[in-house]
Amino acid sequence: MSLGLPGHLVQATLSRALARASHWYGLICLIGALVSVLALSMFPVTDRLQITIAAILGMGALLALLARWRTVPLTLAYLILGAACVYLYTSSILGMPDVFPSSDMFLIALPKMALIMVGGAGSGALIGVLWSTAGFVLAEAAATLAVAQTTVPDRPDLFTIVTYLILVGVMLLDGLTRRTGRAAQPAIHRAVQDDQSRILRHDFDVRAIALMHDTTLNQLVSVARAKPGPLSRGLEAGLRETLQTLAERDWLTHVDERTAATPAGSDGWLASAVFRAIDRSRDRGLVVDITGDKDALGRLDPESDRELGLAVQQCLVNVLLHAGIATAEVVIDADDQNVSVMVLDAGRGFMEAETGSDRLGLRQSVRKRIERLGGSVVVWSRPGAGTSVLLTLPAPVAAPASGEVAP
Amino acid sequence: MTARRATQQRLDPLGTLAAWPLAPAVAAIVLCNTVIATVLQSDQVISPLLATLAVLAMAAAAGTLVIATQPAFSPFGTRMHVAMLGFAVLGYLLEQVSRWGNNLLVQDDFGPVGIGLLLLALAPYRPWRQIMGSGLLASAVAVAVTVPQAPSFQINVPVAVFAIVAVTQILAPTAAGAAYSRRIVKSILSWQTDARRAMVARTEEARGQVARAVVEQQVTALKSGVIPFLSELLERGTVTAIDIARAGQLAADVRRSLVAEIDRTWLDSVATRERTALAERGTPGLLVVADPEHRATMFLAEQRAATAALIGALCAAPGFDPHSLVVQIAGSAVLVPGAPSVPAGPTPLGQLAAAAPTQVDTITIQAALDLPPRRVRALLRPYLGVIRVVFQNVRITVRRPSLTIEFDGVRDTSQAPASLEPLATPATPAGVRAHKAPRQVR
Repeated sequence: MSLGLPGHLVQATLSRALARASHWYGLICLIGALVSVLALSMFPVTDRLQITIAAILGMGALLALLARWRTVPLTLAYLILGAACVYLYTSSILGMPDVFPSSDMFLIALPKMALIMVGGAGSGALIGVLWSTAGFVLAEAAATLAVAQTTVPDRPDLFTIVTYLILVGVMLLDGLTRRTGRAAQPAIHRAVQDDQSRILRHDFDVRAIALMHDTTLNQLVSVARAKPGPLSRGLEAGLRETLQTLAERDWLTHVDERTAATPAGSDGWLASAVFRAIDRSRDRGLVVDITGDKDALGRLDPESDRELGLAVQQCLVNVLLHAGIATAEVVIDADDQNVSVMVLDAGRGFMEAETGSDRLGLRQSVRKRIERLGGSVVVWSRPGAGTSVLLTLPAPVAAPASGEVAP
Repeated sequence: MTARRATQQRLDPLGTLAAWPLAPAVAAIVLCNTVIATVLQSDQVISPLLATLAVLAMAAAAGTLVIATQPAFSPFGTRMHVAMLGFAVLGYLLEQVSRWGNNLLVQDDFGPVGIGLLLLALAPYRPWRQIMGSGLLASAVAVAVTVPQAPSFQINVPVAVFAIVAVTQILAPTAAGAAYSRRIVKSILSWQTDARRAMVARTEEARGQVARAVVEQQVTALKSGVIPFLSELLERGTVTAIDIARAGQLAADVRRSLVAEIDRTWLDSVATRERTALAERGTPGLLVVADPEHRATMFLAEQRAATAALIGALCAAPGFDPHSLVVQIAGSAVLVPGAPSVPAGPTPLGQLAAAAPTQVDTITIQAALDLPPRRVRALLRPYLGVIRVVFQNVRITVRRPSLTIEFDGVRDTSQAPASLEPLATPATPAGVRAHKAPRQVR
């Protein structure tokens, strides 16, 4: 939103907007002139009224064309036809006997102002000023010529002059005073771009940290909790897996999920990351009971599936490490909008407020992961009363057509 | 913001800033015209009191325009718009009443011209529909007060012609203003779309590189301690008491560094970058970020960018004391519903839904800038112009050399992402984190 126009576009954009404004000003003036002529022609009709109406309509049509294509030929055509129109209009209005006391009538100024508002071709304050000046000179010349042929005294038309001066003032100001913000605008653009990069970097950092936690930190904690002596089978497998992961660096692809693998196969449950996470925990000696609508997991897109799998894995790791119990229950549930997985244990339980300040697992590996995908995490736990973690991810039921396409 | 309510001022604050002298100029023209018309046509005035009040009302309208377009008052709100229009129409009505039955010409009345010019001056500040709507409303008033006066007019033409004169004087400038507003907003929006797309593309290109850098950083941190330790352990096949102690210690180290990284917000990154820039310029400095509740994480993209640009401008300003910058974010207490109680068993989701209070974050930036206050203001004007659009209640205090800028970010917590959970450590200058860590989940 604060992304203002960059310097190189300012001139062209402003010029276009000012031209558009001029054209509308001119159009309203011409409409006013047309309606005035029509209103006056109901009065004693002068011979020139019809041709005047035609001239105004032609000028309006050219103005509409000019608003669409600001080209030099159209601009010139508008100026020439406009001058003719001003002449016809002025002479037919002022030619009405004993109606107007002098030439400085607002009614007379209408087509003249429309002519000044030519908003001609080209961008840049000076070109705009030049076109308007041409319009002004032509309008005044045509009007003076027309007034000279009537009996009405010629007085300076303040409306046209002031309109011209204001227009020129605006164009010059918009064209020349832009300089103040010149240094700041690029700085703000840079800040927006930097912000984008920072967000991307932060996103990757968060994911990398979650993965770090899953691999390295969990492994270190397992070692720290081991009994002195030979490595247990589970611990050895874990160590090997961790070192392999770190060496292969293939978690680069996990960090940047764009390069991730293709989605699951036909059996949603067996292919799901949740299943794999549970399988891995079983390898480590945890007894896991699974109930509920397992196939619902197939609805998750690959990213959600992988992240949910990692989150469930962390929950199960927590059971292994903290609950003091070797059994857990996983309940899978789904409605039309969401898929949820609940991990329950009857272990030690804990108070969220009393856990160590430097503990990351639930916060980073579970909560942040799920929330990043628009899901939610609810934890119920109390010392001695076990722990339940409910992970919910949005996964609307797909339309029957999608996903069922034959290969 | 919706395109319907978009204005140049909101989309391109700097451009509007450059055009602001137009408003006082228009106000001056309107005021002069009002006074001159009243003096020159004093013979038509029946009630001098009402004529004087009319001039005053028009002056009030012009004054409203000048005040509302001041950079310090941006953005130009609906209330000021209505006030300005109200004063102007009131001035017009008073003028007409003051010479009712004795008005010779419509074209020299100051009301329609004044209203038209004032509405024209709104072009950079107000949505085009509102400008046009105001013009149509004023035109209706003009028709209503012009037609009944027809018998007193000096010129003998159909009454419609008088109405046309009054209405055109209002509508022509109004239409020009509305067209400008519409066109410029359209141009800026379409450019922004392109710019965003280009920016996303550029970020996307850097994606692999950033991911690699992140991974590299993590692995490098592990290479010195954790990886050799684990491989040695695996090789040996046994765990000793020393290994267990070492593993505990390494785990604590890794955890600590991860926590510190998670708690870094964009504001810390901005401070780090500026600190590096200062060091490169040969004036290493200390930039302090105090955001104990990590409110910075809730900022929107444009708020982040505007704040970062302002901080960058301050650090690059001549006369800036590199040890002086302090950025604080504080705010009113969050009225989050009490923590969920522990239910006996699984309960459906949705029980957490509760009232969403409005949340105000107050950002305070303090710095020492050894410059005359006028230059400080001139230097910061463009940045503050942007800040004013994306934040509210911008306050600036300049007492050489100290400079304090405060502004409020107001957000509706019901739309906020669900990451209000407090982070582990309070944010202090990066790397100098305090050890106060009250709350954490396992």
